[in-house]
Amino acid sequence: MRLTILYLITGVLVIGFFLLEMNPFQRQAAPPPTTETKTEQMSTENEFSDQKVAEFPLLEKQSQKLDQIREERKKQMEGIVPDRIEIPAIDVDATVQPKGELENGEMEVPADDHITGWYEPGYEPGSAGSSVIAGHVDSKKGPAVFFYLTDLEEGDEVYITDKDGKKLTFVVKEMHAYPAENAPIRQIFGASDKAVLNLITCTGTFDHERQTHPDRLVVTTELKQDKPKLPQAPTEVKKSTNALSWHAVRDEDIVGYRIYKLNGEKRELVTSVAAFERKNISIDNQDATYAVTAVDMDEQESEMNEMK
Amino acid sequence: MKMKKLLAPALGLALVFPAVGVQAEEAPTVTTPAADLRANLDHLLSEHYTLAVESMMKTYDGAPDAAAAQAALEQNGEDMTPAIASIYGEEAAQQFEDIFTPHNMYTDDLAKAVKDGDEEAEAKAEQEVEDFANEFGSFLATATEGNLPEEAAIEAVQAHEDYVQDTFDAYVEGDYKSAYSDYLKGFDNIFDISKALSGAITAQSPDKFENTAVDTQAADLRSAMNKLAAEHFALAEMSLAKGAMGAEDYDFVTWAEDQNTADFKAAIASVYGDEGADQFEQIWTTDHINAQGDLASAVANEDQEGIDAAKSRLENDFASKFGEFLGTATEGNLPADAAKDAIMQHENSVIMTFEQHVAGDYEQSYQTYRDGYALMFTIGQTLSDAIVKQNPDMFAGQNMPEAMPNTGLGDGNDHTASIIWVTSAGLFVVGSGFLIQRKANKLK
Repeated sequence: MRLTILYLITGVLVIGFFLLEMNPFQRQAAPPPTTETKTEQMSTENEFSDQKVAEFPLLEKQSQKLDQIREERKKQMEGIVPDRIEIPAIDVDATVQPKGELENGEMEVPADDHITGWYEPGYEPGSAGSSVIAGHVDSKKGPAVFFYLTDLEEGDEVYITDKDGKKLTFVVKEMHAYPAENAPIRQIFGASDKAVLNLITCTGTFDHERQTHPDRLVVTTELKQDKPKLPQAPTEVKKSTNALSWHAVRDEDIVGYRIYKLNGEKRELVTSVAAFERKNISIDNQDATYAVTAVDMDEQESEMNEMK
Repeated sequence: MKMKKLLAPALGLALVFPAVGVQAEEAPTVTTPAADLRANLDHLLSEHYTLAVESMMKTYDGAPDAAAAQAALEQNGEDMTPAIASIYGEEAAQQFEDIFTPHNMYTDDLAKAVKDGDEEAEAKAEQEVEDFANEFGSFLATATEGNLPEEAAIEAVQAHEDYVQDTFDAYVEGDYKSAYSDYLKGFDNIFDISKALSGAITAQSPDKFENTAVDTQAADLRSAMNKLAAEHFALAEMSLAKGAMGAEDYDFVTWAEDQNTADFKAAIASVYGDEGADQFEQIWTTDHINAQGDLASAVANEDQEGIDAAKSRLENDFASKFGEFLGTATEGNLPADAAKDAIMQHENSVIMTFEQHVAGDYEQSYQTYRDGYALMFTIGQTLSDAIVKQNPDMFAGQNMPEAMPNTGLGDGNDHTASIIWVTSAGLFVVGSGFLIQRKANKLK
């Protein structure tokens, strides 16, 4: 998807005119990211208070273990304090400075139009939530750091590095231009389940009277993460006289197994067995072919393993 | 090479009893004084083994029933003393007790040392266990007047201790596959020891045992049934407890149970053919092993309906179906009703042990465990008796294999390879081999 944007005109740009919208945002001031993580953790626990993932009941200690895994995953989603931004697609390689707000409530942007500003009171890039980096589109002297932001396309990558060299990759998901006064501030700066980084610059015909561009371009990117691996399929799927057995998949995030009766291309779910149960079930049809899959805490199902 | 030493008493027996033919004229029976001795040793020694392993695991885990497990282990040791006294007199029994009793502490010390990461204490306990093997081996050699040669005796005791320790070490390392493979091998090993030991004792005092032999085919069958039944009981309790608490090694205990089922099936097949064995397996697993699994899951899940349903399957459905199966298979030599009652009693003891455990009444639970374990040897006797009565021709004489045994059953590090003659189940299969064809269609 490519955004068609109005031509750009020179002018110093301040990411402003969020003034009115800034105020409500301030009232529900973004808590520090760590606190936010805890809050979300609790809500996750509540979701699992019935101790089930998909159709699989969980033992309490199993449930605690899964919470622990979730916590670890969250930790891995810990954000970084951005120091540098690189966008190879549009040849951007610039410094990032932490910025707060101006007295009028606008997000502050570096005076130097070749460096960018990260909204420090909000989220850190890489943590769950929408972080924001803003940069000028142009100045009286010509194009500024985010001049070509509008040329980005879905799938382009953005690299954010902190002072220690830890690098995160974000991928462009979508781009929107909003009138400065009507931008969805909460969506751009607020909480999210995902690790979002919004890049903001100005767009629209420069309004000489107001000394600003009328619109804001928001490029929404998301943290690029390794696709969660599918669970391994259970092995040693065997049929005896009247029972089907298999070996457990020894991963802590496995919540159970699904047993299918195969009929040509079709497969019919016979039963589900929770991870803590015996991996051996009685079967009624001795001539049928059966297969077993493993299911993990994200409800991902493995490939099928047919009985031998 | 070393095998010869353990074979010696067995060969000696053959010399002591040249009149095999005389014995064969009488109907073969599983209840001779020698077979009884062997069965008693099967019972006491294998119970010692299961409790020793359990106790070490529980001590290491810091389980609330660790003390009760250790107490049960010590009670088992106390039960051995009168058995020794009846053969060798009070003085020897006292000597036995002095050597045997402390060794049950050493294994506990070892588990505690590993738990605490106290390497010095661990080394000390290991040394004590080794010293015990030497001392106890010497004791057995002396008591049997060399019918069980000292070196072979020490090696047999050491092999047993190695199995206990290997099982425990693998358990501690979280290598459950090795832990339960070793556990099964160690269980097998015990029955070889009881055979060798009872053989030495009877060879030493033939008159005391009315000149009967421990290694008749009937006695072998009884011991094989003892082993399968007792192993089933021990694993059943272990898997119920582990399943209910969602233990990490649960799947491996159930794997061990499946091995027991396969061994049992093979034994049944050797007498009643494949079709009979299939029927056996179907009944054995459906409302029994799998119902047991459901019971453990239901307790873990606090699902009272599930608990009741699983118990009913075990106590009613399984007892009826398996009782009927045994009645039919043995052609009434074991009447279906009697079989059903025995199985019901067994299931009661399994469930009661488990429920007392769940309720936290650990001492009582181990008491029930010990009664339930003993019951398996009554069942082993009753079942083997029925099979022998049904097939007297088959169990007429002493075993005389046609070929030397395959003693390379383990890997190169498997200490018992040198002392295993033939595994008890293996003997059973060899002994009953020629029955297969005749009985193959019996259950149709």
